[in-house]
Amino acid sequence: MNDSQIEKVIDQATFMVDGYAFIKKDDGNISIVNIYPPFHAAVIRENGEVLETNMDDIEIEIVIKSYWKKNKKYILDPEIWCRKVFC
Amino acid sequence: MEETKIQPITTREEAWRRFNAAKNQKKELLASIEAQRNKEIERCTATLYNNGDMTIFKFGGQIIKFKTSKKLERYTEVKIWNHGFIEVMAQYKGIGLVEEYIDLNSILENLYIDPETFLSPIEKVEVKYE
Repeated sequence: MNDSQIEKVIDQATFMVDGYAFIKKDDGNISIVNIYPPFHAAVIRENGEVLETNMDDIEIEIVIKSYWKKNKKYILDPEIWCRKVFC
Repeated sequence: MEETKIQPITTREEAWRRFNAAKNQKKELLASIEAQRNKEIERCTATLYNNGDMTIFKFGGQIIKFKTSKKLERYTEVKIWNHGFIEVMAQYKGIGLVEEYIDLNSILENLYIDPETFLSPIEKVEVKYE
């Protein structure tokens, strides 16, 4: 990924955790992208089911069971995100 | 199972010896991974197989996994490889052997991998279960 792609990912992200950008796609799936090399990514459903990825089993486990599970409310319920950011 | 007893470090020399041994071991491991990756690139052959409902495509150190049908038992033979488009024979539960089509381009784009860069060295794809 080049710098402009990384910038685009950061702009589109609803939130970022530990270098992973979480983006809600138009089809309702969630795109997770690591903005640091080797730029691994994953596409998952809201329930955490993996659809596509080039992450290894350990990485995907951490990303879903830890980062996604703890922070998904900010994508699934935008009001919570607004309250968190603006209040 | 007998546990191997680790001898305590008593001298600075022993500490350095163990540190260097671990460092060399890591170097060898990385070198063997690199060699395997280069071998794959040299052969210009990618591998395709499934693990349950996840299909795995491997080439040049990249392992790309994507969801397929739960009824998929195994792939048997790649018929066509055309720059990201794969026509493969697949055995399905209750259905038998059918032609399956996989378009890697859209999957690669979703994973922010440039399809042109990733696919251009691949000349052949084979079904190979580990």
